[in-house]
Amino acid sequence: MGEAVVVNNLRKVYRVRKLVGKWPADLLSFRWTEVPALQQVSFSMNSGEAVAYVGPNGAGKSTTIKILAGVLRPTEGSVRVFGHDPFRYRIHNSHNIGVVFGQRTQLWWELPVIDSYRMIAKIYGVPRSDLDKRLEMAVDLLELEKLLHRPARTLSLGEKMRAELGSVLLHGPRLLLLDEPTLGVDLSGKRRIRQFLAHLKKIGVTVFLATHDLGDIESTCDRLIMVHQGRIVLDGMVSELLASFGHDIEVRFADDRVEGRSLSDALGLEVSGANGRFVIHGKGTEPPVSVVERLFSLGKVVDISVKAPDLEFVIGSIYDRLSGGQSSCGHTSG
Amino acid sequence: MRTYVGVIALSFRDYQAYRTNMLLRVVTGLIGVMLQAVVWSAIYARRSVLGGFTMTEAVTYVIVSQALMRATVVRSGLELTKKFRSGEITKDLCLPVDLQAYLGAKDLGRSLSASLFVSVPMFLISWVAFRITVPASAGTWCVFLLAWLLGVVLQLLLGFLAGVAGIYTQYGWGTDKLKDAIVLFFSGAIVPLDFFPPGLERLARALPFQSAYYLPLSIYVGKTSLPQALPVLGLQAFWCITLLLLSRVAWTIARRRLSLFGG
Repeated sequence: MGEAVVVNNLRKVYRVRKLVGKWPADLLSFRWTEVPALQQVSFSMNSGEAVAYVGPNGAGKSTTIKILAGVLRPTEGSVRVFGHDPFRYRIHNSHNIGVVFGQRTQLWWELPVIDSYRMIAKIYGVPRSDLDKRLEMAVDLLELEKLLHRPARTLSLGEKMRAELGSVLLHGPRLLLLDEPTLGVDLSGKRRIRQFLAHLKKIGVTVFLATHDLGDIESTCDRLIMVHQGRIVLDGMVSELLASFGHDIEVRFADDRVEGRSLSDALGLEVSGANGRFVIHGKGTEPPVSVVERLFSLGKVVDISVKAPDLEFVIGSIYDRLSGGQSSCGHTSG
Repeated sequence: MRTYVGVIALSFRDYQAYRTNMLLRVVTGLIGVMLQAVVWSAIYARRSVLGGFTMTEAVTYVIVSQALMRATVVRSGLELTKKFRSGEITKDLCLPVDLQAYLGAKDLGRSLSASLFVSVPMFLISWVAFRITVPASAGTWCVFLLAWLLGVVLQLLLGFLAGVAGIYTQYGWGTDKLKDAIVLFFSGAIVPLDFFPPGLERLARALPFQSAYYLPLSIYVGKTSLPQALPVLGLQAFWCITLLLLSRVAWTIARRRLSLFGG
């Protein structure tokens, strides 16, 4: 296994031109301002790992991907992809990575998809036998057979994205950098894309997936890194993150005189509801089974259900916490 | 290298996607040819030689020039600026290619396509309709085509430089049109440099732009004989190398700028 990506104390600052004053003075005068995009970002990824990279719009996700791809140079800090500086060794790096930006395509507009594929294979110097093998895999996983002979401009958004994903597979990249690959894609398209990513992960490709789509994360990634305002605020396993949030337990007692207050005191947990029907908000520290057992000892239970926390809720609450619970930028879409 | 040959081949085909468009280009080109023929017949109405050119030589020069102008498709500069603005450049920089060579190869493919399907028909029709002259020796043809190729390379380099300049003005159209206007004027595409006022002619001969049309066309019409052609080719190569170096420096600086401003 070795390390696929090592990022150390990465800082990236953009310069933005701001117009000053009103017309016509603004035609001539402007000021440069520096906008930090990433600050003190450090993380590493082992080969074969699948990491979700989440954060509100403008958090710095795309910037990170562009730096890993060697397109942008970090302002400070060091970045290594398979041991090399991606900006300095851009061309070498590009053989190791496959990059997909949602909404942007490498396919040639006027040509059938298959011709673009052959071209891309030629650009990367892929031997014929490898190309055939990978093409077959892409066609299989992404169900491309009907798209191959159509010009890219005639494809729908979802089809284009599938064709695009197929194209980054052709040179056999060891690391996939994906920037919102399911953006605007319908449900069946998403399902195919997720199958595709899961398969790549299985054959040992390292996946770095920036997304707003929590379904993508649940189906593909083991680990989650969250950025907010250019800083990493969370880095951990998805399963641990979910567990740390605890389960909600819905319970109905036979005796509707049971009081929420006393229940809460007895369990040491937050409780809502009344008249014998309650929701107990578990903590990640205690397994739900033990809470259920304790509930049974507190009275005759007629009905009980345990609801696992979902990622949308978990990430939504973290965003809310980060933005002080008032901004709307923590909104997640499913 | 095989990569870029592949890009040329693909771009060659891509350019032919719209056949009607190709046909219309031939028609537009022929209108330009006719205009030139009318103007130059009028100019020569009362004289037989002007600026050292006979009427047949002058008409041949300007008509072949029209065909060559239709054969050069330089889009890489504008493409570069547009990609820079839209952020599409990010995708191109993820490819294991040199961007200048990649864009240049695309233009070469387009130009080859335009040469074959627009310029050759234009040339053949003009040959029949206006009785333009054709070099007699195969040697002249070879040297002319070589000089023409160097002219195309020069135009690609100029296009790329205009594109890099466009990154700085943020909107590439202006720099690209300025480049086009300068090339059109100083390259002798419309009027042979011999017809320029002496000061202007000297200036035009000191600039690289004559490589694009005047130098190859002088070989075509026989104003530059074969022994004289060698230093001409050398001069063209000199300008190509100079502009190549210049464009490499400009591109390195522009990439740093991209890094500073984001994709």
